[in-house]
Amino acid sequence: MHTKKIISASYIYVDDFVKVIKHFKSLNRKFVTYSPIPNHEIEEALGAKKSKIGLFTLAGGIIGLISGFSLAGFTAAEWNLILGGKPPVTLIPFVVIGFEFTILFGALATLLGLIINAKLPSYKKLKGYKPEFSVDHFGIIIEAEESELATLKDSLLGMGAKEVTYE
Amino acid sequence: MEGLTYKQVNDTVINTLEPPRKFYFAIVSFFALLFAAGMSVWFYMIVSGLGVAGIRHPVMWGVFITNFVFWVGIAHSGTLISAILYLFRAEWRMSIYRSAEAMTVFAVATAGMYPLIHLGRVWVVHWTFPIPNEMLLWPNFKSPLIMDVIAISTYLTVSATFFLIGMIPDIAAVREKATGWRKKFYTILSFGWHGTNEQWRHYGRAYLFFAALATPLVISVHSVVSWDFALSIVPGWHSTIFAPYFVAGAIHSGLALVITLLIPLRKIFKVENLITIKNFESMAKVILLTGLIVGYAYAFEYFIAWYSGNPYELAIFKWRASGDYALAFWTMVICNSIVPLLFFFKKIRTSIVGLLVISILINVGMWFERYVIIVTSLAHDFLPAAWGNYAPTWVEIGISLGSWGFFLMLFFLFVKFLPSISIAEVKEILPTPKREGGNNAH
Amino acid sequence: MNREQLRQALVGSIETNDISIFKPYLIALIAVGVFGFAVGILTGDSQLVLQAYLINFVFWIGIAQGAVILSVVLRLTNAKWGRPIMRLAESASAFLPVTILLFIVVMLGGEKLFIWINEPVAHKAIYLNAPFMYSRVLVSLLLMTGLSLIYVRNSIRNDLAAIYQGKLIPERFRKLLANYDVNRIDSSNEKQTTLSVIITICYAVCYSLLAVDLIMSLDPHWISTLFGAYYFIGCFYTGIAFTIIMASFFIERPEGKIVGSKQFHDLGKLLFGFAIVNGDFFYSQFLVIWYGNLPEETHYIIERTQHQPWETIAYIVLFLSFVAPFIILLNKKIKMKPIAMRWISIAILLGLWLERTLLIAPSVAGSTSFPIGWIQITITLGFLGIVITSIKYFWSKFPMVVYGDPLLKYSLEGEK
Repeated sequence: MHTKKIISASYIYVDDFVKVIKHFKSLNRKFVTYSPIPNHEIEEALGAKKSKIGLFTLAGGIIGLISGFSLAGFTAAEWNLILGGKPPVTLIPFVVIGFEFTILFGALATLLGLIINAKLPSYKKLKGYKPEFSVDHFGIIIEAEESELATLKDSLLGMGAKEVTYE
Repeated sequence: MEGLTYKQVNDTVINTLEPPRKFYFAIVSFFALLFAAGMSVWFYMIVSGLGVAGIRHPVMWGVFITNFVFWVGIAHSGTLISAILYLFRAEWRMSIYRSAEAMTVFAVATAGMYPLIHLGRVWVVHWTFPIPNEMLLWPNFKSPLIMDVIAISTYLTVSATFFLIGMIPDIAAVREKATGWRKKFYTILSFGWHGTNEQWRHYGRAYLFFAALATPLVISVHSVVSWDFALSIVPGWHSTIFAPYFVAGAIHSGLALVITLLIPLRKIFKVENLITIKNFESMAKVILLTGLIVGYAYAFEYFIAWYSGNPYELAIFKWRASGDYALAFWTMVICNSIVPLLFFFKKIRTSIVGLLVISILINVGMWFERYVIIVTSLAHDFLPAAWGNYAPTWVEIGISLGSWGFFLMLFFLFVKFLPSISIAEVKEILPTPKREGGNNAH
Repeated sequence: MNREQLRQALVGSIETNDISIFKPYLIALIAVGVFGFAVGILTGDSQLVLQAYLINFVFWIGIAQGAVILSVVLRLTNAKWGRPIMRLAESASAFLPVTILLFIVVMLGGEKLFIWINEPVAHKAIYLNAPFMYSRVLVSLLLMTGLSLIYVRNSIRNDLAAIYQGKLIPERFRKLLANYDVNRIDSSNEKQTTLSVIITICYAVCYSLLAVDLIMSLDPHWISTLFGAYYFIGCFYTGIAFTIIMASFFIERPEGKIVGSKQFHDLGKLLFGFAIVNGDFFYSQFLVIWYGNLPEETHYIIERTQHQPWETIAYIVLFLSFVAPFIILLNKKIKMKPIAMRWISIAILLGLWLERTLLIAPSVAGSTSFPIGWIQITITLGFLGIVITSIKYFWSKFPMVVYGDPLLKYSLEGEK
């Protein structure tokens, strides 16, 4: 019977950590990394694509722009009265409403994008996560067969790991 | 901040959240009581009518609207520091932006109370929102006051979101150290953040877009506030320079309040190694710039009032400087555009006493600026027969003090429950720990 | 490129450059301008000619001064990315001394341009009279030119001293470097910062007053309190666009390799930002005047936005100076492409040139047909010729990178 284990290693130095990532990437293994801060070198090593959250912002902004202008125009047209000597439906002052709605919807859509993409909120306990990963350790978590645990641990320690545990 | 490690930063900031002493409870209860007292005065005013405030013809906008503009202005520095300086990659913002941002949220909330108070019949406030109703009535979106409702609500929503999102990684760091009910509190607030690189990838991008949206927003909000005045034809209000001039003034007063609050804060929490004199110096330099812009606007308004040859315009500007409100006027000129010039001297902008005194004076000056603009123009309108002066009564003063109580109460609660310095971003500006290359910070 | 390579490229350029600046095409451009001006005056429509001249005058002084202010601002903000393009921005200062000579023509033709010279406005005559106005403008131009040249000279001296440290200084720089103390680079940097603050303040004041005198007073009954700031922000905006154009040519020179896609990216962001500020300042004035609906203010706007041919031009201006740059510059990749940025900047400059036309022309000669003909085009080409000539002179004579600047190291290889 195969039982998968979770092996979790923590590193202090970014350059060690980058080497580890590159090593396991070249082996085509699946792994998850944790870091206390965003870091360019780690991102480069992971080779992940740029996040697509911008599309959410853009879509939200465009929807906001259209709804702002439409709301102002629609409500003004409902009562076709000249107020303050101004034509009921006129673009010049509606720019302000259109603008504010663009920002509001853009920001809310960005929030939505973040929630969907980063899978927040999730209160599940993550296997292998250690509290230090939010403080000063860079962590890597790999799923492994029971048989290869020892070799993996040695190679992780060999690359400068401070601590390696498995569960 | 040379020579600090990630762990030290982490611990220094989290230590500020330790269970407080009695003195802290005393302070918070004092401000809560002040707030409650202010609310009781408001209740008294609701029961007796707006007449008990000093607001009567012709000055229908008094201290309430002055306070409204003042608090919206205070809010602006927070967004400046957290969003605009983020886009400019200014490193000195890192350790101060969290508290400035909190100030923004609380100041907008405080500001938002004043239109409600000024409304008199506060229970019809929903009429300012476009809610479908059986009377088929809609707000008039061409009215600058309705624009203001939209702008301020947008600002409150976006700045609160930005504030909470910015805090997620830090809350996760706090969660790891907390125990008991606090652990639960921070776990919920951290949204389950664990700092996987997949999360960081999206987070960084989202943060950038929030900053990019907040930047034009902050400029638009105070422009819209200024248009509450400028879009009329009242002499002294109808002026095209108002929008940029109000934005600069807002940042001027906001940064001054950030300095006023952070100087005691860093001392109490012993975070002098994170919030350094360099942070204050950089803020002082920005204040110097905004002070010059405000001074330019004062001068250019006078010049154009004279150049225009419009007798009404000229009369109001002469009266401001020499009439019943001359004291308020000269307080505003001296505190806002002359005193900040002292920041040209490095000795003054790097001395704690100098910073504290000047920043308090600027806040006094900026409050009087709004007071002078609002009250003088209404008191001396086109018709001399309808002139009349205004002075606040105890009701307005009581409610104003109550709003300070509200703001400071929230701020004091914030510094004890949430990390008032951004842990993740301060870590980011430290040298990255590397085995090779000498940055052996551990 | 590392420090030594840069030094060699700079020395190579300074010592081999051809100082004969009057290239045939430049002579041709200037000649076309002079010819257009002369023929215009002689065939009778002198008001139209002077109007075109004034438009170009306020347009080009704004560009040259705005570019110098860009360098000043980069210094004040300690912008590391901006060091490689600082000297480029400063090179526009070579046009500034010429502006004082060019202003003489405005003075000679003043009566045809400024209606209040022959028909004084009663309560404004103390301020709006020819001798006082001319002396104000001349003082502003002299002050700004003087300060800018001192600033650029100090900057160049630091660089030459750094380039020729311990080496023989070429003959023609000896005078410039006389009594220069190499040991005091730090204090001279501090002085430059102080001078930068003074220049920025004087710029805001002088260019606001210039805007009132040379543009707003053409319609002496119209006022707008933001107009001064609108003009100097617009000038800064054109200064950035012009610096981008210069940079897109500069990268072909050997020392130009120091200007990389990072510089174009950041310049592009700055251009994007000021497209928005410029648009915001326009809207702030427009909205207030639209709501106020006071005849002494609205007549100016109505003529320019609701009457042909100006209405068409107004929409072109809105498109070229705000809408198009806003949409195009949202894209990150395009900001890094020098040639694309060159053409976007040219379009923006065209938009701002039309905007100056829109502000000036309806108050002076007016027009019922499309207001751009051979007179406007030839005079503009003439100005362009003078600007390019003065900048070419600067480029061939001085080191084009701030080699002595302590922050340049962030843009050099192998240093940090």
